[in-house]
Amino acid sequence: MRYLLFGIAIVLGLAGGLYYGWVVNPVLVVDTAPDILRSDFQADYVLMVAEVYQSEQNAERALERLNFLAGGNPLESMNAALDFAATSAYSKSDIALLNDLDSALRKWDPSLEFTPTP
Amino acid sequence: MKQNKESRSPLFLLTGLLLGLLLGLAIAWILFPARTVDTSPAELRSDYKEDYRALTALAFASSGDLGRAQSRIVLLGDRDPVRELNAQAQFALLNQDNQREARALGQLAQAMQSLPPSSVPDSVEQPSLLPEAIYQITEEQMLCGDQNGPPLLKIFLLDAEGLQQSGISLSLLTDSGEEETFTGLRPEFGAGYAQFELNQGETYTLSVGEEPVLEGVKAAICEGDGGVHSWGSWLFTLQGT
Repeated sequence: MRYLLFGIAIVLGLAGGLYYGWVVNPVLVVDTAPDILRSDFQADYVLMVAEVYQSEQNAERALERLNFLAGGNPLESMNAALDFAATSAYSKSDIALLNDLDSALRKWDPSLEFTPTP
Repeated sequence: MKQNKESRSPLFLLTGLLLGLLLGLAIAWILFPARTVDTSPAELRSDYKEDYRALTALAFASSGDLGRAQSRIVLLGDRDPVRELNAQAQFALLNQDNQREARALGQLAQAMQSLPPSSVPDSVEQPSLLPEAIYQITEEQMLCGDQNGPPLLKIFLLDAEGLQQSGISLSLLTDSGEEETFTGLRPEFGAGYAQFELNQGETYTLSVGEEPVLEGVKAAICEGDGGVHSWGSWLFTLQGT
């Protein structure tokens, strides 16, 4: 009986510890990487890259900057930003900037061709 | 002897409870910490923040949109954004490859510095926080110099941990009626951002949800060189208490 009670006490303590450590007081988030930025921040980052691309006209540099987000798959970020812009309140001029960058990236390296989502 | 055993029982259970608790905390904090997603730029590692700041400056150099650049810089959560921009510009100057970036950072710092609250005429009435408000003002600025449109009230809404709050209802009440909007409708400025157009001569009260927060909000008037007046915008960052 004592062992059973001891086991129940451990299980209860374990549950309490997990709840406290995961829900009430989870590990403080600092020094994070860009790939876990919220989608609106990621989309705005891509928009910044598109704004800079408008004046630089350097697709290679734009790709390098997009690597900041996806770590090797910049068109994934580009695609996500286009989707986000289409479903959010992005202005027509901002969407045009994103489309310009998207076209430039695909022209720059055909191996990065992808199937657009409907 | 039997009595002794019974009196030790609660201690026995407490030991089990403590052991379980320690094990649970070890699992939750060390072995399998909660996976973090949906972070904000303020939580980025410092070198990533530098990349973000540099790109913001380059985008400003390209678009000339100071309001947007400022909104992005605010997201990094720097205590003194202008100082951070200047420091990074100085550092970038040391590298021959980063001259364009250094210039852009310097230009943005200069542009943000040119919008100080000191350009606010003394006669301008500032909105004030209501005593019972459940938010506190962490940043308050009158923005001059980037206004070609109507005077605006720009709000960044943060929770108690400093994260932007999206989808929160904000309303602006005046004698002539009420306007309502939600944070996050201008995602390019941030999930916690919302703005209202202000009419000349009206005095507004801003509510977050049902709670009045700011009173005495009026269209801001900037005084430029030679006493020329133009519309400005109020920028408030409100953080939950």
